[in-house]
Amino acid sequence: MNVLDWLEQTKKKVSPLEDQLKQFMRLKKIDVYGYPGVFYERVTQLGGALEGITTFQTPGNLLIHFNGNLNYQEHWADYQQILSTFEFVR
Amino acid sequence: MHFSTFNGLPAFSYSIKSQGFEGPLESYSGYKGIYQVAWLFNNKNYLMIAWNETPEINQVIPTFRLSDVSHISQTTNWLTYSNSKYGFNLKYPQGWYVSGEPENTLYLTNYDITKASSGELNNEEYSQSFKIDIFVMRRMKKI
Repeated sequence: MNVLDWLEQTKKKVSPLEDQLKQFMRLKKIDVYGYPGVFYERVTQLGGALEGITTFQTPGNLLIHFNGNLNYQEHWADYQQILSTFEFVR
Repeated sequence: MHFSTFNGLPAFSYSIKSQGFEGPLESYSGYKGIYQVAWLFNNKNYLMIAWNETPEINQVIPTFRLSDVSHISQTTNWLTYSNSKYGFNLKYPQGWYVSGEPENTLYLTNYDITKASSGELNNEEYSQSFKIDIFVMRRMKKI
């Protein structure tokens, strides 16, 4: 599945848990190990915590979600650094 | 050019002499003079700082700090997680934990998730806890 198609579909969906459209704060296109993806943040309705999420395609056109949570704000550098080590084994 | 430190951070630095420039539609000469340039390595990015030496700026420059310098760490000593199901590797710091199921959701945590689920984390561990959920969305039918 194309990550941008997924994004457009997901933008239109109402979260059953939160009963509202999903948030995409600070949304930007990125690539992970050369594969297209998107990064965004959202505030959870349950607890109000900030999460950082990266969704990107695999060589087999699956989507991987890389979701940093709990104390994400304090650990955003860890999140980015771990994400930067991601590689597909061909 | 020479390697040096900039406010205690590793950097390389040099001076440039700018002659100014003229714009295509109007004459404009600016940024003339001698500039000091320092390049810093910041979390996989290079940061360039250039300044013209004046008494005021010479007071400002020594106050420059990288706010996230405490987060900068090398990944060379990190451990490697390999997922043969989906064919990927990633690295994570020593002392962190990988749990969950490779076919479904993986949890990468800086705390022992079994302690958390049994309520054994102390307040400090809880306040510092960080978790990354990694999961694969399987193929979906196009609508």
